[in-house]
Amino acid sequence: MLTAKNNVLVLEDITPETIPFDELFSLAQPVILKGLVKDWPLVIAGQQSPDNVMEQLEQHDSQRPTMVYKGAPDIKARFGYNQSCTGFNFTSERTTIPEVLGTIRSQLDQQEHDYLYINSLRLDEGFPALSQTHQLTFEHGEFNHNHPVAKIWLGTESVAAAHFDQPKNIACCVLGKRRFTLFPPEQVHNLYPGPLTPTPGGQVVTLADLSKPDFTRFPRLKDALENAYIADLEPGDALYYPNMWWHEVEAFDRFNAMVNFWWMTAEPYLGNPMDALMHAMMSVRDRSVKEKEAWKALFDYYIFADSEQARAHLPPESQGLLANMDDNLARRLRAMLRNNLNR
Amino acid sequence: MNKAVVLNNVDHKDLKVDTRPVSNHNKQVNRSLVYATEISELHKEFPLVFYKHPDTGQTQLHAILGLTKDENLFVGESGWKTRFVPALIARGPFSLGYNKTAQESNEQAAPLICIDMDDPRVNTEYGEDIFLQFGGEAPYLNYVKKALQTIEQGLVFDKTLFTLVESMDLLEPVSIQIKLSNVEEVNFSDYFTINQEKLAQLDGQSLAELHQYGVLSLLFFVLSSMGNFQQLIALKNAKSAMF
Repeated sequence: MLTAKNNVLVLEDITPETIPFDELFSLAQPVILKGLVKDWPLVIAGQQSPDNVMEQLEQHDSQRPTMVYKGAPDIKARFGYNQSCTGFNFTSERTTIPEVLGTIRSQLDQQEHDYLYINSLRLDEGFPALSQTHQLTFEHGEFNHNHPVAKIWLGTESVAAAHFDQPKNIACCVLGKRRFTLFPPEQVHNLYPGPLTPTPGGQVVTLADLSKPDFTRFPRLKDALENAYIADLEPGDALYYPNMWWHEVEAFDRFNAMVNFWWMTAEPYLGNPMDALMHAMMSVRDRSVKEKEAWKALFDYYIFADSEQARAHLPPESQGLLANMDDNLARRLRAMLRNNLNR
Repeated sequence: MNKAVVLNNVDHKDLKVDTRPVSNHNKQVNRSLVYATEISELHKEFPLVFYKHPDTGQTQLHAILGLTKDENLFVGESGWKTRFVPALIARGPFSLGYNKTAQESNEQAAPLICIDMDDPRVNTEYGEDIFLQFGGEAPYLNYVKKALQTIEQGLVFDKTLFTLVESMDLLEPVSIQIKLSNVEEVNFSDYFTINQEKLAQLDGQSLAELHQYGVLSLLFFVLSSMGNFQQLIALKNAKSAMF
């Protein structure tokens, strides 16, 4: 793999109570918070042995059923597509925490073993007591209406292909080494995204294997890798990264644990931009080049430019859809769009 | 044989449903299972009665549609003569199903609309469009959806209704004998209605409980729906007079 020329910023001596959110948000790039959660009980337990973490998890398990991704030894930790990209190389099963931990434990000595991954399990649902003792302090205006949700990620070695998420993220490495390979949003052009549906975890993922880059099939991947940020995390470290950044996540140990906090930054009444994208595929993409150029100008004017520009010359009472979006305006638009779509 | 598949606007874009009574002539019935969720509409048209299955003892709500076997007096040549139609009949060849994989995950599975492809009313030539020209939902599909929703919610509401009327012992056997002519007489058995006297004598706490569960008004609707037997007889006599 090519070495990325970008260095990920590292902030030291930060505690869960003193995260400098203003600084993180203005940096607008990935930042490692070294040792942020080194005093979390699970991290301390893991310093002695991974088995201690398993015991803690079993002890605090809410005993609710959960879903696990399960892959055969030959997937080599990469949870992804089958050959034709119409399905996956793993299965999704309903299970329990002790069952998953039991399987991982029973195969610890085996060279060849199954790959198991419980991903994005709500910490308060899976392990209510641990959600009390594994917290960060979120004090910033951004959290007034969007409180972060803690999720836990457990499993064997795993690679989640590069994808983007809409919420912002602080990922806390609890057990096992973990690597995030991150790309700024505009790198989508060089990342060869796979199908919009189905997707392995709800988000579009790159088809490229970053650890064995196939530059014949994916030549522009070179550019992507040159613009990558690589963040290597040890247990106790955390990584902040902005939303919409593409990221591949690798877990390297025989048993790994991570807790992350996700928060949306937009008002909840806004629509999902992915829906707008799909609507544009249906309505705009397959028109003539000339026509598309015209629409590009209109999108630039109404959507991507400063929204004040499109309404500055209009009296406030006549601005209608051009006014600042609010709950009521979004309701009216939603009804109108729904009605227009039904044909 | 029911061959229900999940409805979608690609595979089923050209399908129509023939809603004329003749298209389903083999399936005319003289009563229909109805749900607590539709009492407030149906009581304006049909006699509504409780039915206790003689073997299982299970309680149901029925709308009486005819006085002899396979007779539906509320349906004419051009369709239903009533403003409302029992949801179980209105849903036509559609039903609700649940995605198996979604059921296995923790999330609440959303029901899927299924269509019985073997139903004789389903065709590509005649009847109501299911989808609009470019795949939107036609008005008929919205009508079906509403009926399916009535059934779905009714399954839950029914339990509340039956539990309350039974715990308060409000049911009494219906004793109706209808003399249609000098020779023809119709008897109803296994049917129950609300005992008006017991309902009137309920204490404040019981009335409050019935009201709290949204059931109190329904009991009066069921009672007043008994008056629709008159309409049923009138329709029967009018039909007999034609021959």
